[in-house]
Amino acid sequence: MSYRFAVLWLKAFRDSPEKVCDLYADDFLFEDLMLGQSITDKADLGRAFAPYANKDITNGIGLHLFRIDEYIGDENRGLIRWSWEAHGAAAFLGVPTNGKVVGTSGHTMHLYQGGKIKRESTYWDAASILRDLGLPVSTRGVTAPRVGAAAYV
Amino acid sequence: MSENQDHARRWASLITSDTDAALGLFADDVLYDDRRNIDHVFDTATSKAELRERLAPFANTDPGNGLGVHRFDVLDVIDATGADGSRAAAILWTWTGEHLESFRGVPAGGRTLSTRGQTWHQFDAAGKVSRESTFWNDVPVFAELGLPVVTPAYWEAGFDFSSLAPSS
Repeated sequence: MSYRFAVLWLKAFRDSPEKVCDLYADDFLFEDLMLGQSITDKADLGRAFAPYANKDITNGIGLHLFRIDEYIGDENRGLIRWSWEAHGAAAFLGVPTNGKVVGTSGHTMHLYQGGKIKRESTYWDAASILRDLGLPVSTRGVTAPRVGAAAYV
Repeated sequence: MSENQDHARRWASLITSDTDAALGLFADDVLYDDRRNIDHVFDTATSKAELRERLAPFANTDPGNGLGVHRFDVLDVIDATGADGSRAAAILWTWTGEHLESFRGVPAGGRTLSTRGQTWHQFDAAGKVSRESTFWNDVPVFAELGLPVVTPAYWEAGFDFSSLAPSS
């Protein structure tokens, strides 16, 4: 669609699951396989987006801040490159944040039909989050050498 | 087979077999991102020389040097649109690595690992890849290698969000 649509999509995350679901076609495929999500049902989709609408920074779910870095495409298909931060999330991927702000970047491929999202496929950089949370993970590539306990790179 | 499907198969094959030929798929003024950009100096490859450093390990054929022996299998190719209406494609793939000493710095002990990822290619007028954006699903590999990561199915009806909080 457009950079503007991508911004509206992210703003809908923060508004409500219902508002996000309205942006998807009735017959859709939503995949964020990194979170184990391959969803074709609007009720499941709403629950997948529910945490992003959390407005209570004290409940451990976190406040989720997104921004669109780039939209590359046309009215029928587009790649959205985005960044995300969570403030107040107790854990991410099961790893305690110990109060740290966590964040990363990713990209989402969208196919549109009739002004709605028909297909979505999202991947993002988990290694940088886990490295920031203290796990011995390198962000220097798949074949990066073993990370020493004292110096994560 | 479409032009994008043909490209995806060649890319997946060459990246693990012939680094020079794989580099030949890319434009000289390439822009290559395969991770979160914190510092473009390291995180974004902008030349064939920088790209070679990224690609060469995937063409390793020596099972004994710890770099692993790699394979990419194309699962799906989504026709996309690049900047200014140029041709683009999203490639969904499965990677398999054997004989790896480590995976992103985590000891792998030579075991065979596999996961999925998504690569987006934009082509220039000559049909060369002028831009790449790639992300990997590292999470299941990290879990297999013993890191304490989980992917709770929080979107399933009745899920208890309080279970996400770390136990004290």
